[in-house]
Amino acid sequence: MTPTAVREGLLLCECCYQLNRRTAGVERPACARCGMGLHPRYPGSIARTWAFWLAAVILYVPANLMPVIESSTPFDTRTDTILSGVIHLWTTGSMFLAAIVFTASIVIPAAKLGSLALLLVQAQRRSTWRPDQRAKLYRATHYIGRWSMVDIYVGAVLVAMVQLKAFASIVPGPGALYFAGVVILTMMASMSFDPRLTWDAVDAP
Amino acid sequence: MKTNNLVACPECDALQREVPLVAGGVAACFRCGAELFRFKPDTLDRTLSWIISATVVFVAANSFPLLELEAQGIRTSTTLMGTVVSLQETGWPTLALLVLLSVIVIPFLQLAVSLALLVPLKLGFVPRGLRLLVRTLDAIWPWGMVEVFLLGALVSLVRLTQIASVEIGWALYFVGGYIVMIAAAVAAFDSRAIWRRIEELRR
Repeated sequence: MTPTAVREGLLLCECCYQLNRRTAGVERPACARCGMGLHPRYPGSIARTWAFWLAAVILYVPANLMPVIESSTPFDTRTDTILSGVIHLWTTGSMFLAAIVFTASIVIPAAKLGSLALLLVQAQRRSTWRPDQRAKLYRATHYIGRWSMVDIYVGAVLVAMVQLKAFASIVPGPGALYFAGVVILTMMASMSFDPRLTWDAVDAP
Repeated sequence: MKTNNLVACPECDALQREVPLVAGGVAACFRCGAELFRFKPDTLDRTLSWIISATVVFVAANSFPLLELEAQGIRTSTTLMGTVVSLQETGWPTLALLVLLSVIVIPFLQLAVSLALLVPLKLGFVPRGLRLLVRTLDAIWPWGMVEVFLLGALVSLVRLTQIASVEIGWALYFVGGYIVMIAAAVAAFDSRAIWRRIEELRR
C-alpha cells in the first residue's frame, strides 16, 4: 500500500509544498511556513469544478454561434464566427493559420471540457481505471488550456491596427466576450480539480 | 514520523523520501510521474538576474510599437497599451480590461513581487510581508499570458501582410525576449532552496 500524506496525518501546503503535521482540535489549519489554509484535498473540488465546467459549457454555445469579429471595407462587411473565420482562412490560402486557430479555439476548448468531464465522473465513481493515464490527461488539460486565449489577442491586435477611417475597420463581435469567458472558466475549472482525487480511489477502493 | 526528509507529491499525495540529485537531475514521483523537483544550482542569483533582465525588456516592450502598417497612404501602428485602448474605444471595455490585466498588469505585478521577494533575500534579510508576497505570486502566476499574446500578434501579423505592407516594431522582439527571460527565471527558480535561504536568514 502506497504511503500518502493524508494517511500519515500530514497536510501538504498547496502554495509552498511544506508538509505540515495535522493537529487535532485546530479548526482552520494554516501552513506553518507561508500561512496558506491547509486542506487534505481542495475543499469542494468536485462541486466547484462541475460549476465552472457547466458555466463554461453554457457560454460555449454563444461563443461559437455569435460573431467574434466584424471587418468592413467600403465594398462589403464580413462578420465571422470562430468556425467561419477558420474556414475563411483556409479557403483564402492561409492553411497554417487556419490550423493554429482551429486547434487553439475549437479543438482545445472542446477537448478540455471533455477531459474535465471524464476526470470528474471517474473521480466521483471512485474509478481505479488507468490512474496514470488520467494523471497525464489532467496535466495536459491543465497546461494547454491557456493557449485558447490566442484568438482574443489576434482580435485585439487586428482591431488596433485596422482603424483606417473610411478604408477599412475591424471591431470585435459579441461572441468574443463569451469565448473569453469560456477560456477563463475552463482555466478555473482545471485549477479547482484536485488531481489527487484520481489516486484516492486507488488507495482506498 | 519525521517529516524533514519527506516530500508528498502534489498530484497524487504519495509520500516519498527526498533524494539528493546529481547535476542536471530531475526527481519524479515514483507513482504518478509528476516532476517533484529538479537540480537548480545558484537559484537565487540566477533567478534574480533573469527577473531583472526581464523587467528591463518588458518596460521596453511597453514603450515601442508592436506593428506598423501602411495602406492607401494611411499609416497606423499600435503598442501593447494601444490594443487595450482601441478595444475600449470600439466599445468593448470588458475585453480591454482582460487584455490589460493578462498582458500588462499581471506580468508587471509578477516582476514586482518577484523583485520584492528576491532582492531582500540576496541582500541578506527576509522581506516584510513575506507570506503575502509568496501567496500573491502563487495566485497571480497562471493569469499572465504574454506568450499567448505573442502567438496572437504573430497570427495577426501574417493576416495583415495579406492586405497591406506591415513592419514589425521593436516591441514584438522585446515581447519575445521577455518570454525567453521569464521562462529562464522559472527554470532557475527552486522554491525549496529559497525557503532554506529564508530559514538560514531567520536563524
